[in-house]
Order: sequence, then C-alpha cells, then structure tokens
Amino acid sequence: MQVNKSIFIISLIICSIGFPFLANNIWLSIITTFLIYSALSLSQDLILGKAGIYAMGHAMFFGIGAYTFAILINTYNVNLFIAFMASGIISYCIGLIIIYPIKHLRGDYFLVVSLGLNIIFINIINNDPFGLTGGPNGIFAINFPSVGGLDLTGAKAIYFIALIFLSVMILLFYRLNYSKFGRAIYYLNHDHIAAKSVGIKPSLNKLLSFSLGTMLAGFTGAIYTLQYGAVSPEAFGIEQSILLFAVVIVGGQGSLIGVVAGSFVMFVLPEIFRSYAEYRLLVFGAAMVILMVIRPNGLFPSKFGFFQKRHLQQK
Amino acid sequence: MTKLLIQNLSKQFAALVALDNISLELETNKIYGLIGPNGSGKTTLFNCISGVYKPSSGNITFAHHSIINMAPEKIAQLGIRRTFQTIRLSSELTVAENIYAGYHHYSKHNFIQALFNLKGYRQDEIHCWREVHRAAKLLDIEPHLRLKVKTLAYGIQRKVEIARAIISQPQLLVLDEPAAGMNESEKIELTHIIKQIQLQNITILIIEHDMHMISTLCDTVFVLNHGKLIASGSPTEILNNKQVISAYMGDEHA
Repeated sequence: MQVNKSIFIISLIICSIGFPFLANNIWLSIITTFLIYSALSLSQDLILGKAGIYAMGHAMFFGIGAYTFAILINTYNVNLFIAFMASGIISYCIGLIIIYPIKHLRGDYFLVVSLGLNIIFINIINNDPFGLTGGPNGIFAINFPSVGGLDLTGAKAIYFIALIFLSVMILLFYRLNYSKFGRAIYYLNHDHIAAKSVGIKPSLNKLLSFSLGTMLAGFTGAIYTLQYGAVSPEAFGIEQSILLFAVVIVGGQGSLIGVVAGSFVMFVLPEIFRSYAEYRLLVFGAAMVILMVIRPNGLFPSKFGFFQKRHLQQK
Repeated sequence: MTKLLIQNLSKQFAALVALDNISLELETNKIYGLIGPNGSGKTTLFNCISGVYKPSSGNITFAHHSIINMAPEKIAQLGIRRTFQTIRLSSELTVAENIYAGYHHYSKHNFIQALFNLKGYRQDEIHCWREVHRAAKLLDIEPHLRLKVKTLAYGIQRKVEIARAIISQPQLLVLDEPAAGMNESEKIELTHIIKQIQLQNITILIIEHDMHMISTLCDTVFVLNHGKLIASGSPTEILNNKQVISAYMGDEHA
C-alpha cells in the first residue's frame, strides 16, 4: 500500500512537470485554470469544510487579490513579487476586519452576511468610486514586468507558478490535521460546546481559519490575474461564490482529494464539453442532485485521523 | 482547603428562576454529590460553574479566581473539566483522538514543526500519546483506543468522555450523570474508577440519580429542589432528611 502510494505520487509529479511540454496551448490553459481553481476551492474548504464557517462570499476575496495585483502593477508599477505578497496580505486584512465583528454568528446567518458582502464588493468595483478598478469593464491589457530577465506571463511559466502554489497548499492541507491548529478547528467544528469545555479557544481559531482562507484566496487571485492579464467584475460575483461553495459540498467537506476532484468537475468538465454548452447546467444540476442523494457526504468524504501510524504502534 | 466557593448564586431564564440564592463550598480532594428531582436546576448549576451560562447574580470563586464572567475555555484552562448529560464526543474519531482533545491545550508544537514533521513535533506527539494511554488506562479503555467512538457501547463512550475530562489532571471534575444508561456491573466499575480518580488529587462533583452510588462515593451530598438548596450533609443524613423525602416522593411520604 505504502509502495503503491509513493509510485502514484512520483508518477503524478513527473506527469505534472512533463505536461506543459507535451500539451497544446488550449489544454495548458485549461489545466492551469484547473490548478488555480483547485487552490481557490481548497482555500474555501479551509473556511467551510475544515472550520465549518458557512461563508458563501469567497469569490470576493479572490477578487480582492486579483484586483490588488492588477492595480498595483497597472497603476503603481510595483514589483511583481511585492504585488503578489500584497494581494494575499490585503485579502487577509480585509478578511480579518470582516470576520471580527461577526465571529459569533452561526451557520445560515453567516451565509447571508457573507453573500451580502460579496454583492457590496461587486457594486464597489462596478461603480469604481476611487477610479482604480475600471468599472464594469475591469482592467485589461496589463503589462507585467519581467522578473530578473524571466518572462512570467508565458503559458508554461504560469502553469508552473500555479502548480507550485497548489503543491504548497496541498502540503499545508495534508499536514493540517496533524497540527494543533487543525485539530482545534476540527473539534470546534464538530462540537463547539465540548471543545470549549476542554479549553479550546473558539474565537481565535475561527478568526485564524477564516483570515488564512481569505489570504490564500488573495494569492490565488493574483495568479489568476497573471494568467489572464485582465480582471473584470463578473469573475468575482456571487455565482462564482455559490459555485465554490458547491465544489466543497459536492467534493466532500474537509477532504483534499474530494475538493480537487470537485473543482475538476465544476471548472474543467465545462471547458471540455464547451460545444454542448446549452446542456451544461442541466447536466450539472442533475448530477449534483443525484450525487447528493447517493453520496450525501460528497464525492470523496473526508477521513480524519491525526495520530500518525508510527505513534499508534508505540506502547 | 476550599477549592470552589459558590456564594448567593442565582440564575433566571425570563420568568423562570432556575437557581435561587445558592451557596455552597467544595473542599480539596473530596467527592461531592448533587441530587434533586428532574428540573431542580442541577445541570443549570453545572453550566454556571463551567461557564456555559452567565449567572444572573452571585459569585463563584475557584482557587482564588472569580470565574463568574470567564469564558468556558478559560475556566477549563484553569482546571475545571466536565462531562455532559448527553454524550458529546466526535463519533467519527477514534477513542484516542477524542481523549487527546482534553490535552490539546497542553500540546506544545507550532505549525511549522507540524508542517515538516520536525523533532519537536514528534517528541510532543509521543508525549501526548503517552498521556492518552495513561488516561485510558485509568478508565480501563486501553483496548479500545484505536476504535472509532461510534462503534462502541454506550457505557464505554461514557468512560471516553471521563477520560477526556481527566487527561489534563484537572483540580475539579464535574460529572453530569456519569452512570446514566449503564447497567449494574458497569455502575460498580464506574464507582471504583471515580474513587481511583479521587486518588489523583482531584475534587469531584457528581450529579447522579443512583442513590446507592451516591452513598458509596460521596463525602457530602447537596440536594436541590426548584432551584433552592434544601439540604446538605453526609449521605446518611440526606437519606433521612424529611424535606428531601418530600421533594422526591411528595409530602404524604415525609
């Protein structure tokens, strides 16, 4: 079993490194989109699946990251790396500011508030009060500076940036269950009264998981801007938020494989079957209903266990 | 030495007075019973001690700290641990992982150490795992450590909850009907286990309906009725107290 797993992981790494040299540009762009949206769905999963916060405005933080990156580069000619860091950090700060006053809200209330905030966000970028966001047209034809003589806007370069970013996120998520923070949010998510009775701080962990999720979404937004060289409001609306929410629910809350598989189903299959576009939503709607009936915990329900086997063997 | 001091505690839910001017005192290393008919305010009192409810008036002092406005997690960190009337465990987790929750606050690694499985993390995990074993041994549930909680019998789940509460060596353990749903032999075993826990220098407060268990275990028994403390004393005194008998059986039996 262990050997099979290593073989699988090694071949996956080889395939993902070799892929851009074999595939054509259309496929490369589809798979890059898939990598970006997987990372985005994972950041939503940290909030929804792992921490159990019913936030449905995640596209907003994706948008904040994307717009920050675009504005910093287009208007202020900031260094690419600094702009990238800034997009994550600004998303993180806004996430923190938003969650702080509403951290005591539960379930459905939180969902309504986050959805409302997303709508406000879209209104702000559409109306462009500060003359930065370009209104409904967004910002396009962004000229990215090269970094140390490397052009980072080529399809292959973006593919690798997205791949590295997703790999880091997968590592983070894989190890989360083994960390003190990951365990705390698991206990709080499953029974917050029992968790509090053993001394686990609810608000601190809720703040942290939400703001970290929004930070990761901000970084993902920057990579998205890098791929398309443009940002416009429709990519960050509530439809996107609902789709992201659905990815986590359909894939399996808190499940790494489930969420990646879910983003494949939601974001890649529609690209492949583009010629049947008019039936797309019909098929997906039906598939989602069927899936929820036969596998109510998602495509690949999460398995949780956090004592490593090595420790279990010790007496 | 006084461990927990409750002074003039009252709790009101709208028009309902759940606790009415209760004062009691728990001393170190003793077992206390709290009895009373259904709806007399026993669990409300527990919830006030553990911080789930904010009392309407009065004061609770634990080891020289006033805990009246403290959050439940702060009170737990001070050394008061509790179990619940209905079992509150994560059923998808194994017994070991559930017990570990009680020790979570004392685990010492940071996220970077966990991320890369560094030495500090591995040592910490081994230390925690030993603590889990120790708690499980005390409650005699070691063979079940690797099983999921949902596959276990009710009596064992109860013990897992107690193990989670005592793993951090609390100073006060508050048990809400620990023997509910247990059969006679399990009750005898539990009585024995609670005595073992007391030997670890833990003060214990138990809500229980089984009078036999209360009288074998407790040094002092408090009786609540309609939110009032109607009697307190040794189990024999309580069993012969007319007010207590009338509260349970009605006036004609008193």
